[in-house]
Amino acid sequence: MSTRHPPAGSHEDERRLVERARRDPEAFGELYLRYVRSIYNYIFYRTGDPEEAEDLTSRVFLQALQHLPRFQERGLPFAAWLFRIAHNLVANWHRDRQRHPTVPLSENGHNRGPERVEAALERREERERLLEAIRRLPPDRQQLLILKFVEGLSNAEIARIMGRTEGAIRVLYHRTLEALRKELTREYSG
Amino acid sequence: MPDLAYWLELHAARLQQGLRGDAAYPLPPLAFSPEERALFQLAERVAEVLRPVEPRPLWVASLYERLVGEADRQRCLAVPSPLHSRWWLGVILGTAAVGVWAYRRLHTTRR
Repeated sequence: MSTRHPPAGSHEDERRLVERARRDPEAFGELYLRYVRSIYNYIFYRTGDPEEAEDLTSRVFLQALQHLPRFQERGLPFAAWLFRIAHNLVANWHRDRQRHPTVPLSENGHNRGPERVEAALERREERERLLEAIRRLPPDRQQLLILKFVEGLSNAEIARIMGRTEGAIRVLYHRTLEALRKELTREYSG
Repeated sequence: MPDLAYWLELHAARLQQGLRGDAAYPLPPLAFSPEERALFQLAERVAEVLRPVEPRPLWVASLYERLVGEADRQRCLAVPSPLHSRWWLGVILGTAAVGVWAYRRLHTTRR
């Protein structure tokens, strides 16, 4: 069961698949397999919790299925629509958590291999600090970083998903790094 | 000389290819100021922490089954069956027949 992101240039193929998915459950399953990993990763890095990522990803695809008859392409790819649903669900999730705060889990459940305990702890703290700083960025900036580094997408692909120009994405990336540096500096000095 | 956003973009593309450290710089590192180099280093750290994670295969498979089942259920509800259509036809014809009968009865009574 492959869940890799689709290659660029499959726009027409995707349009046909979305059309077919309105009548054929298997076609919707194909769309799901195409995007489940991307949506899961997006939500995982926005929430920092694998269980919440599974729950919210399920909800994204159930909502997409429910509203598929009303989905109109209007030049935006299907992935952009899914990311928009995911974005709204994550925003609601953050709002609910602010109302009902819980103890955050520092362990993300995705460890990689055995490491020396001290060095590993230090690295994990560093990593958590950076991830927390990323999560404090505005949602569009978080999305840009996730699409660029988790999904490995080009600026052209990111621009299509985020509904912006390539130039705007380039500028946004620069500003995002500047903002992140300020955020980290403030954290270390405070 | 292109602006820093341009160089950061080239650097990001190299990071995406898996290059790290000096090898990821689009120009020799000393061509950039210390503040600019700090941004390149931060980008590399971001690339290091934002690595793809794989969802649990069992969960992926179970959600697949659930979605395909749900899609199938929606399709059955959306497409009216021949039996369903015949039922509505019966309702319409029955209503029309009752209407005609009532009309005739009313006229017969008046005469």
